[in-house]
Amino acid sequence: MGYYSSLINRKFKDVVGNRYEGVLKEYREFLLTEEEVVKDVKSILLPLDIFVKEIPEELYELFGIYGAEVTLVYISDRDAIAMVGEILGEDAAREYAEKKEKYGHSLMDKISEELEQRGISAKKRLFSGHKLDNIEILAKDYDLVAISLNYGGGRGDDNEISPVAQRLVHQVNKAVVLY
Amino acid sequence: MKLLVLLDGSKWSQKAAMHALMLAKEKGGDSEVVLFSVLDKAEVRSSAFYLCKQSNMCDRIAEHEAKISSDMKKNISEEVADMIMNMNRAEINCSSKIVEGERASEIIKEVNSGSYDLIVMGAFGKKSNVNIGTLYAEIAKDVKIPILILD
Repeated sequence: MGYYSSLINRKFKDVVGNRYEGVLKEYREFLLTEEEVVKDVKSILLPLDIFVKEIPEELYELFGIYGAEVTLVYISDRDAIAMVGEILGEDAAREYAEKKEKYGHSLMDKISEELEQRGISAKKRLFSGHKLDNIEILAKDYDLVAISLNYGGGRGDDNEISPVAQRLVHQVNKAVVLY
Repeated sequence: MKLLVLLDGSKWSQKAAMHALMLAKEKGGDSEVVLFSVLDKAEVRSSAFYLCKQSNMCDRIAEHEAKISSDMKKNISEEVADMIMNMNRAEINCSSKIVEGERASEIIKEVNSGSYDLIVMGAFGKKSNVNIGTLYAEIAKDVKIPILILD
């Protein structure tokens, strides 16, 4: 804790003199407390979809350092399924959903195998829903969310981070690793 | 594992540095931490301009600019020195770089010139709702390694 005490002393004590305690209280938002210095990462949420093809080696290395459990989640877009249903009928929607599910399972199997080869335990979840809303809600139960720049698709030439990934970085109130 | 920590003097970047320390310690071996800070000329200029506007002393803007620049340099050097001391205490191989220029492009240049594995940064912009999405988004599109953003 020497670093923080010296930082607080250096930056405020000399400057504010006898108002030191008051300033500390008023500007608490900008000072680190001992409790928030280094939070343990014990659980990681890793959203996957058709746009996330690979997990970089550096990310596996990071997960390994934390020794955390990784939950893979594949959400098939409920709106897309409904749209297929409206345009092509219920059978086509069912077939589309099944194909999405099959792809999701195979992708999660591949990634969880890669994780387990590196001694990282993995859990899998698959459901249909809304990627942005569901990940935001799920994230509350995890210490870290790993988001691909491609998650949710829609990257253009000038927009190198997908809109879904970009919004998740801002909206999840957790540590994020962007890859 | 080689980690690049972005320091900007905020609480969130200090948190990032402490987190990097923990990661390097856990990883052990030949882990290395580089503390990187950019003295942004544009930020210095805008601060000087704001000060001159507020104080009606625009004839001394160059003086303000030099003073702000030297204060910022001093602050960041002290902060980096404190953090290096902390890293040394934990026996982490640590070095620092303070450069002048445009923040995002200097970071990208550094990442692409060194064999880094991870960028660790604070989520100041995100948390304070200021400059939302600027720095990490500008960096992310031009680097190939993951960016850990700590809130």
